Amino acid sequence: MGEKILEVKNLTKYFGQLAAVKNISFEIDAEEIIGVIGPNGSGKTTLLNLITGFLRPEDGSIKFKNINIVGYKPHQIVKIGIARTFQHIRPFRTLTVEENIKVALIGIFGGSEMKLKCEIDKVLKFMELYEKRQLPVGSLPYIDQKKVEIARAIATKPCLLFLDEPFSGLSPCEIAIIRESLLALNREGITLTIIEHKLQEIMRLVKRLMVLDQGKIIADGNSIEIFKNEKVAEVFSGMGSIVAGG
Amino acid sequence: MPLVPAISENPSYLILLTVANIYAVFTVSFDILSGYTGYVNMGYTFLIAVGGYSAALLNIHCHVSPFLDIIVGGIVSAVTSMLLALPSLRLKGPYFAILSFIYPLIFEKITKIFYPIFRGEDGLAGITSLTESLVTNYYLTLFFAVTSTFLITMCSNSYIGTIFKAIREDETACEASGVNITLYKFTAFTISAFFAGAAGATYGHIFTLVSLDLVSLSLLVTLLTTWIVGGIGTLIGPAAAAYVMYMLDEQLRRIMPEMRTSIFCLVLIFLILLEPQGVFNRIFSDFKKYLRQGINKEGGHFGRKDT
Repeated sequence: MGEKILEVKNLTKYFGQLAAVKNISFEIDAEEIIGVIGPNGSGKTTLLNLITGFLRPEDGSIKFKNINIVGYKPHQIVKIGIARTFQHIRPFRTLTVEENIKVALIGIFGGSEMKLKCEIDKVLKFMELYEKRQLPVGSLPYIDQKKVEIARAIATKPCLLFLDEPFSGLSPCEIAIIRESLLALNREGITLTIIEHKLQEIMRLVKRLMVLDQGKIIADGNSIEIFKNEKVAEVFSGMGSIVAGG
Repeated sequence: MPLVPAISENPSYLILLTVANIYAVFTVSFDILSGYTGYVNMGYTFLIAVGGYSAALLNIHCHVSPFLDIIVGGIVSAVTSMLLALPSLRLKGPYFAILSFIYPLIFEKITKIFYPIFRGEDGLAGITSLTESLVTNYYLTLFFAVTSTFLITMCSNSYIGTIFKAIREDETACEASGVNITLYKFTAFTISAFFAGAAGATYGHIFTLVSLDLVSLSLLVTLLTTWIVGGIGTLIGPAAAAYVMYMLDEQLRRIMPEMRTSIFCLVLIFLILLEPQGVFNRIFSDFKKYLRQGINKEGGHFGRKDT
């Protein structure tokens, strides 16, 4: 494992009276793959929105490579090396696959056409989208739209990539394709944090799991051992068979 | 179009075509903001008026030459839009449309309150004509329309245009892709306002008068209808539609002046319901499809040849 790249301390976010994230602290090491799980409303996506600058915390600090990024705008956070995907994918549907990637590259590197073309081709080949580069994203099957979403995120050359439910809505075969892409990304040195509901799929990918419930981290550790934790077992009591199945 | 003055010596047709050239600039610059970024600027006529009035004041009081005046009109309008963009850019969809709709109303009030400067409903008269010759005026405005359309199209075909379209599609995804959306929205506002202001100033130098007609609801309705007829986000479509719609507008003004705006409103409603992508856009894409089919049938250069 590499050095520590993200350090979250005492992070708190309220929506009105409701504490969506309560005093959360954790660290992420470089080149790790971490899974974040928890029931609906446990604060997973809120935590992601706080780290990526889409929400501002009431309290706490988020340090990326020792820089406190609280108050940074989302595009500034992307520029320093944190990228994300969305739970409900948000590709630019009327734009072509190539243009989708181009948007991310322009955001980071500016508008030099030669450099853009070279980088676009690299990303498209990596995600196996090169043959479809001229097609509008709205005309592609769901799996390819997911790939475009991931491709757009990796085009920003992140050190740390957050993926919000990357396997949702996919068949087992498609999940396997995305899983392989994610492993390949990690081999390239990108740290991955995956928020997911499909426990058996995430168990195949990660060694470390973080479990959230009611805005708090109730467990953080080895993905196999963690289910021996009483609190985790209680939260996931209805999902025991799924875990076992994995 | 460039040969029109040679075959028509009727001054009224020449003036009609000259103004149609200016309308083409209005619609193209409207499209780069509203069609590309999705921020439908209902206060667009305000930017035309700012350019028109500032150029008129400079020309009347400081005797600035019409050509310099047009550029200054564009710059004043662009700077004004930058100031207005600061509060407006925080809003989206209907909220932005409503806020922008208020600007022409405020402008109208200001011209009335400060009557000695802006002359309220009387407008500012005594502006120098662009040139003495109607034919030269026609060619100059044609050059202005072609250049503006070319420059705006170049911009839309560059990476800036790609970002504008991405903003229209999904601002959140754009931010998550590392794009400073505020900067690009600001750019779209400024480009649109510069050409609107310059066109407003040109309008003043053609009619030697600027009045509250520039912020009238009927002008906005005509522009919106032309925009929809031409095809949202196509640039060339609205530019081409400007000529047809302005001619139609003028004919209606002569035949049934009271019904003019109502008829345009009806056309607008029908188009939104029946052909939201625009009539000209449909004609262009059908024509392209027809050409492609023709080439393929003949086994032309782009067609697959059977061996």
